[in-house]
Amino acid sequence: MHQSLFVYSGYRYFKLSMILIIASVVAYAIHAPVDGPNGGTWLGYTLGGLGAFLILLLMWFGMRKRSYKSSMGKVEGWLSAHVYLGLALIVIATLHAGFQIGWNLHTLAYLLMFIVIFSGIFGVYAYLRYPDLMTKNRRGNTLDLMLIEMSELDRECREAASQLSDEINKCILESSEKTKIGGSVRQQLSGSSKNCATQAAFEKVNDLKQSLPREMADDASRLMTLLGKKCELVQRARRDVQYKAMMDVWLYFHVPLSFALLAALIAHVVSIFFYW
Amino acid sequence: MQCNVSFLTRKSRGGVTHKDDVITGTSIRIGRSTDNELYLSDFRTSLHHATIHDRQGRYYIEAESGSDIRVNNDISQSARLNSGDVIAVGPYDIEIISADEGKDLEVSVELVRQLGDDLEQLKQRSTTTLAATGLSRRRWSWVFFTVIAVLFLALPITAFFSDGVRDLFKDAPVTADIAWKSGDFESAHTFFANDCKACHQEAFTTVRDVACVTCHTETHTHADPLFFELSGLNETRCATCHKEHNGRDGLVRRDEGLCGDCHKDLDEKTGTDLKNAHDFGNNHPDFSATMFRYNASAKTFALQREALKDKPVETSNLKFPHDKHLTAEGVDAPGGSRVMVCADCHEAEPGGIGMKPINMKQHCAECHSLEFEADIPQRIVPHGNLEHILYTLTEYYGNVALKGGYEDIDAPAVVQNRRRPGQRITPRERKDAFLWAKQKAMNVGEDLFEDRVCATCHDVTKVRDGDSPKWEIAPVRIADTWLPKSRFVHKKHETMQCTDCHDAGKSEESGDVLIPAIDNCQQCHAGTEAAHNKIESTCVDCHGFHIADDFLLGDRKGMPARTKKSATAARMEKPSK
Repeated sequence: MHQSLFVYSGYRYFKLSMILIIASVVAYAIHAPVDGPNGGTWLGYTLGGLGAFLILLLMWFGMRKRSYKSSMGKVEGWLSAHVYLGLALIVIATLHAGFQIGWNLHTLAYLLMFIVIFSGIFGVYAYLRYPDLMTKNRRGNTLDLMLIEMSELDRECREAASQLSDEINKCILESSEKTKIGGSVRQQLSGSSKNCATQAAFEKVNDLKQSLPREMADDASRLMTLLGKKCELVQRARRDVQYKAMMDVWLYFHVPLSFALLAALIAHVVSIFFYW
Repeated sequence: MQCNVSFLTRKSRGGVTHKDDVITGTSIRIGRSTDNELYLSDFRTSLHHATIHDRQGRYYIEAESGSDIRVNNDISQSARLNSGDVIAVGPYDIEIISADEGKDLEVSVELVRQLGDDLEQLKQRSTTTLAATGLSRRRWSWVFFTVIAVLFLALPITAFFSDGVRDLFKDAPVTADIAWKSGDFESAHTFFANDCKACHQEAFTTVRDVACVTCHTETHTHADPLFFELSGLNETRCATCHKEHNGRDGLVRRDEGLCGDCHKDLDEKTGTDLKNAHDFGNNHPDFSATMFRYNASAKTFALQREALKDKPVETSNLKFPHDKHLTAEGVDAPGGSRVMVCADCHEAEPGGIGMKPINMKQHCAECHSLEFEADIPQRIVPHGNLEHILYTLTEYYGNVALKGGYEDIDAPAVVQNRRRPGQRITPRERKDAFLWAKQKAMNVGEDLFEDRVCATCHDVTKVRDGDSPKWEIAPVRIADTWLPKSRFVHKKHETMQCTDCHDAGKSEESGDVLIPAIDNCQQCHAGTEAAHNKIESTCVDCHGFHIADDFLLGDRKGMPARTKKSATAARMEKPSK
């Protein structure tokens, strides 16, 4: 899928973006306005109009991808255009501004646009990197299947520990009652297994089994095997959640800030003509 | 002892099944371990959780160390069993149905605290998506959109129409006005520029000139707006050329288009006599000098413009041969021969643009003395007014005559004779003396005017003969600039020699206009077209835009009319000294 995003229709949108970028740069280089490059020259207005149109078009992607019945181009094409034209926007908007920045709404809009575009670039990176890692990490399972397997392991652990000491039993109980996957935004993103109840149980049982009588050695080693399996499973599940979070988190910047950008863009355009 | 145990299992549809068992032993151990007499398999039960003892027909329960039991909800380590008691062991409730002395113990055991579904609980504990943490893209989108729309759109617009709202936010880090500011101001505008309405007086309307003219009333228009009825000129807004919000440099247009757009083909557009110009290197008329021309009959000066290539001659009414003053051998000066240089007379003005005016007393009088008696060179006549000169002479010779002892064989005896101190003269002698003095003054004056002194530099005409003759000196006007429509800064050219431009050493007449033609400038300067190895000079490097002498912006824009003496008129009235 990600391949088709870049090469879609023979690099159609890559070429379009390059044409826009080159045309903008050439026009900017040739144009020598009397008051220096700025948004108020004929080229400034042209690039500004183009930039505003692109922003609206890029935001319309959010509508198009939800509208399954739409016949307005394929969603793959829209996504390809979204990525390439979004990148072209960096150049177009910068030249529109003539490299002028200030403590004002106009620079705020520019800044928001940059955050949106760079979060989008991270999104492209995430979509290139994480699906592969996710597939490898899941080994043919889904997260739901992993959770089922985990609870199955809990049951097996309890069985294996049923004739072992109460202390061991308590560890197993905690492992099954307190182990959790994911959690807060930070926990999901870090994929960390710090303070993991299963990990703790594994280590504690490993210590305790030394003092068990010989006849329980079989049960204990079976328990260790099960706990080890669970540890590994828990880690993989957390990594799965982490990958998924990485693939999602940028959207929580990309989308709300693109609406912030839309508001700033409207205010920017209104202010220009208000103080014409 | 014997214990009848009934294991109860509740069905999901209601109803209870039970499995009965009989346990015998000296005591009955309860726990998860299979060697217990009462085996409770749930892992929440300890291996050996508790033991029931039979002590002389009475039944007691005792918890094993490390385990808890609850007897009728009270945590306890041991208790005597009574009928009806409920003993909680881990997740099980053991109800004592009968514990009568001497009889068999009868209990029912039920797993009342079912272990929940592991999977469900695990899923409940785990938050595996960002959306499940409560983050909402939609909510934040609305929040951001609204906040920015209010702060940066609604607020500035409201503040534009309501000073109250504007003042409310005047101390905010980004005020309503600053929020929309598109760039830095020209420094002179800084003190009011944070009030957008100072210039942007109406919404959705370009800045009107009236906003500029509020202050810039004294700025001149470009040309007579009635003579040049050009839409491109008279309807052009100030802001077309003066672009604010681009920092200091942006405020003044400097490109050739500023002038060239109209002056490229001005003759076709307006039928004017003005020549077309748009590029100093390629399309600029030859220089024309604006000179004083004297009309001897009307005795007035007029300014006249003539092309330098036509070798125009100025009539300043001053005789001044530059060549004689700049000879390599030097001029006769009081201290002997002296080689003169330009700077002896031409001294730069403080601003470095032009030269200070030439002044007889300062620049000429050292050599060109106004003495009238060779014996007493310190006595001179005043410069400037012929009548004053005659008065001075009359006064001097009157005094000489009365004193006597003057050596002049043509003079009366009273003038020639020495007198003793206190010796009186007769009225007749006195009259003779005065007559002589008056005649002498007139003769010396004529000599000064026509031959010896004044005529060296001035045109002197005797306008009346007879007893009281009268002479007139033609008034003098020395040009301070020959190119008044342009701005030449001498200071910027100080690395050059004066003679690079002004060929004064060969000039025999003061009528020579000693400035070079355009090609001299074009050696170094060119316009923007093909100026690769030359100084790129646009029109405004030499010319101003707001140059119409008699028309002020304040008048054009319907402001109170102001009259101001034109610079030309002022020059005409100012005589040279």
